[in-house]
Amino acid sequence: MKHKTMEELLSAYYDHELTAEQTQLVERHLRECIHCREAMAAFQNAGDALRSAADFELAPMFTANVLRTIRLEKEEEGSWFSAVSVGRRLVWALGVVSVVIVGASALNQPESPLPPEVYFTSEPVDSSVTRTLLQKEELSKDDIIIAALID
Amino acid sequence: MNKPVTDADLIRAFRGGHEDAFEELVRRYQRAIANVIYLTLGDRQEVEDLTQEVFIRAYKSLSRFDESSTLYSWLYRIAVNLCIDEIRRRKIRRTLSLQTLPEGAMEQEQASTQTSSPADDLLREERRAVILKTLERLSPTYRVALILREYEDMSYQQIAQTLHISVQAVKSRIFRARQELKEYLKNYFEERR
Repeated sequence: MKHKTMEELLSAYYDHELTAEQTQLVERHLRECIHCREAMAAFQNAGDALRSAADFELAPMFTANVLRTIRLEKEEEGSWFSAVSVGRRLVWALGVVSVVIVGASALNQPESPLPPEVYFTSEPVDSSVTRTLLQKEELSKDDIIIAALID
Repeated sequence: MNKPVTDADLIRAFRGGHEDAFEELVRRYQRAIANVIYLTLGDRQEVEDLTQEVFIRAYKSLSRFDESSTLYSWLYRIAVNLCIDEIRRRKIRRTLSLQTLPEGAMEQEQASTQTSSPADDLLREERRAVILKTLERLSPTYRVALILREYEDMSYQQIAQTLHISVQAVKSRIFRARQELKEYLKNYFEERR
C-alpha cells in the first residue's frame, strides 16, 4: 500500500471512521512504521492546538442583544408593512374618489350646444333666421327667440 | 426527574408562539457557533456580529426548518456560509500574528484566561496565534471540515450533512487539511520538543 493512502487511512483512523478490517490493517502498520506513528502524533498535536485556540467568549449580554435586535427588526418591518399598507389604501381611496368625480361630472355635463344648422335644417339657407343664426357658433335660448321674432 | 428539553421540544414551543424557547436555543448554541466562526475567520473582529447574524437568520426561518435535519447542523451551515461569504468579501488572506492581533485583543484574552502563570499565558497565547495563523493558510473548505471535526467532534456523516457534501469528500478534505497543517506546524512543534 502506498504511503499516502496509508496516511489517508490514518486520518480516518484517528477520527474513528474506519471499518474493523481497516482498523486492524492500520494498527498493524503503526506497530511497524515510525513515520506513521509520527504522523498520528502530529494529528493529535494539531487537534489539541485547534481546540485550545477556540476560547472565544461572547459578551455576557449577547443573548439579550440578539433578542433585542430581533425585536427591533420586527418592529421596523411592522412599521414598514403598516406604512405600505396605509399607502396602498390611500392610493385606492384616491383612485375611487377620482373615478366618482369623473363619473359625476360626466353625468352632470350639459349637452353641448349644437351648431345652428342642426336646429334650422328646414329653414331655407338664405332666410333671415338662418342668416342671423349662422353668424353665431353657438345658440342660446335668447338667440332662438330673437331669431323667431325677426322672422 | 425532569426529562431534558430537546431541540425538537424547543422548536415546537417556538412554533407554538413561545418566543422564550428561541432564547434557550441561542443560549444552547451561541458559544459553539461563535468559536466555529472564530476559528474559521482567524480573528475576533467579526465574531460577535456574525454569531448574532446566525441567530437572526435562524429566527426568521425557524418556522420553515426541516426537522429531518438536526438543528445544530443547520445552525453550523448558516455560520459556515456566513464565514465563507466573509472570507470572500475580504478577498485577501490576512496573516494573523501577535503583532497584528486587533488592538486590545491581548488584554481581552488575558482577562478571560483562568488563573494561570504568566509563562503559561504566554505559551497559550503563542500557540493560539500560531494555530490561527496556520488555519488561515488552509483553503476555507478544508479549514471548515477540519474545524467541525476537531472542535465540534462531528462525525464524517454529520459534517457531510452540514456542508452538503459526500462523506468521501469530507474524508478527503480533512486528510488534506491535516497534511497541510502538519507541514505548517512541523517546525513549531519540533522546536518545543
